Amino acid sequence: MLSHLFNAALVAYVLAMLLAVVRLFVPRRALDVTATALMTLGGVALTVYMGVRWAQAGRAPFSNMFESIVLFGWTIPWVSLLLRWRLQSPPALTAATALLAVLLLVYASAFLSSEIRPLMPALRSNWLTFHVLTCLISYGAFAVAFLAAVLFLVVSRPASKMDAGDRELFATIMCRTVSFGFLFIVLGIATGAVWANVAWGTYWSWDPKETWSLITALIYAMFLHCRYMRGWQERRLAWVAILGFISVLVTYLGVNFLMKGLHSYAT
Amino acid sequence: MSENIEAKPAVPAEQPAPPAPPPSKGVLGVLSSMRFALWLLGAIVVACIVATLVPQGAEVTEHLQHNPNAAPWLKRLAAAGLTNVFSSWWFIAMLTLLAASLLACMARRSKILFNSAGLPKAERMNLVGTLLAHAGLLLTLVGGAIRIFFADHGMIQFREGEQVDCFITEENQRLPLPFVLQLVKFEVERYPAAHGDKQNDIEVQSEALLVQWPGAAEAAELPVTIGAPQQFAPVSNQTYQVTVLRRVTDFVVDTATREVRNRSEAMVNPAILVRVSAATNVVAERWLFARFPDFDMNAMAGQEPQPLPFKMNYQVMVRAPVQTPIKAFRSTLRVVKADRVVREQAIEVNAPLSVEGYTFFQSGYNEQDLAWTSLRVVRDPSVPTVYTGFILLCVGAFLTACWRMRAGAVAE
Repeated sequence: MLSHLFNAALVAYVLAMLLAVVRLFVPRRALDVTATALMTLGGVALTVYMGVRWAQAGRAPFSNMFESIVLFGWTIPWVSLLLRWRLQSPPALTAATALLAVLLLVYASAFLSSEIRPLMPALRSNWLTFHVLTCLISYGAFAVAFLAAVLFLVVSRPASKMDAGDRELFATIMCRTVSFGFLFIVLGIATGAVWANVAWGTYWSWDPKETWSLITALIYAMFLHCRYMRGWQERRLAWVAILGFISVLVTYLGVNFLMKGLHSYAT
Repeated sequence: MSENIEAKPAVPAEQPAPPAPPPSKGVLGVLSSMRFALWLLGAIVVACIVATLVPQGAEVTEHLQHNPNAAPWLKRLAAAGLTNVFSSWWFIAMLTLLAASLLACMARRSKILFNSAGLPKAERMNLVGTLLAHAGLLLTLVGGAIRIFFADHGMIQFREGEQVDCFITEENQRLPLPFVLQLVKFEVERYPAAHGDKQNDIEVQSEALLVQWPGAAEAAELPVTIGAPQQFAPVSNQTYQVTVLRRVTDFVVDTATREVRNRSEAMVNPAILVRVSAATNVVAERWLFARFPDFDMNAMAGQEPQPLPFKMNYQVMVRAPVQTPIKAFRSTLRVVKADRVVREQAIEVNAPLSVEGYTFFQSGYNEQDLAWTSLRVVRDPSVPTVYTGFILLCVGAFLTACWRMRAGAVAE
């Protein structure tokens, strides 16, 4: 049951990605609609997958690297779909977000153990659900902002044949997803601090993961302020979004594998 | 701040820029300028990155133990104040400047908010959100300062039945508690074993009595059967009878009475009492220990050791216990004040005990001594301020995110 749901989500994302790529060259609205429907289907399948896993484990499925990567792969398409609900999303972005989700799911299934393991004492808390979920939603939003920033830089090259509308759309998506992600990273840091205070009696201990999440939040805070600065035109802003996502990757993966700290169990 | 803000936003399709506050001059002008805030945030980011790459505080000694060659450059980094970034004067100065910058920015934005009657509702919401977010961050920084100056952190380590009326701080100071804390009980709870697994018990797979004649290449293996004599004929003209008289799994002896008893059914110290006879004469009677094959009870009691005609060993093969993961470890604590029990509560990780401003957190235990526990003690008056800061920060970020979504939708 679990593997069928996982595979269904993976196949739906792959098909959505392929259709979005075709849509880049064939301007048909039906392709757009089908790609969005497939992304939604994949998202629903992955939601059910996580729900079943939650029921089987008797706890939120957010406690090890496999579960966390799957959650990351779940947030990216949903943030992308949320964007589509509020404004039109270009097919290049749909293809890029679907590709990223596919890569995450393939990595999780190929290299990480999907075994359901019992929680260690420190993780047995309801704060785990709020903390990990809010952090991963912010990572998903920042991933979409990163893709939008890269696409923005590509289309804003002088040699690019894309029209100004696409350029503005990518810039809008970049700014909105950063705002959305910033709210969730603030929630993630706050819930993590409250949890740490309940578990260990200290809400902040300059642990590498804490410090890097603060670095990430500060970089995106700079992004939100830079927009109103003279001389910080779109291209520079896009580079800040890219820098922010590099910081997300260090926070999410780099710290777990390269540094010792309170989050060492998250590998 | 106005000198740095463009009349037109950098990203035209998203939303209009927030209303430009009136320009300020002097120190207030610098502190409230966005350019200054951005440089400051950038400097804090760089300092934080350095602190995660360079060993900090106690990590330096540990790093030197593994990499003795790193001593020269670590010394240079320490001289530059980079091995204690978060407690260095310059880092604290940067956070203080950030607090001042937030305060100045809030003062200017408050002015705009009070004169914002003509502004659209969405933009007023953004102003309120920005103010709340800045106030939240400021309160969090203030909370951090309160923590540095007024919080106490320490440890208590004691065993079941013991009590304390003080704790040892991280600076190795002994601070009194306004009550007595007793450790009633400590327990470790493990997850139940999977179906078919015997949890956490050592299981005997096989046991045998090995007897070896001097000079023989191999030992003979006799079964361990209580009261049943076994024949052992190592040479043609001599036959011995080997009888296992008694078997215990957890051997203890009363040193006064020399009485042997079995303390538990667990395979802690398995031993057998063996009698060796030749014809009708008892040659020797001796306890053999699986874990201590050379131990002789008679020698321990100061008596003449009984020589055996051949070598004997008690061999026990056990299956390693299935140790399921630990689910929780908890200490049951009793708070006593003026000889009266005022509170009794079991604490574990994520479920501390708070009494009169002191909070006790389950910190550690000793697998070799499960009557011992270690607690972290915290008295931190900064927590309400920091939590209020978090709430304001989250509400502020929510309002500004909503404004951006709404403003974007309007622009479309």
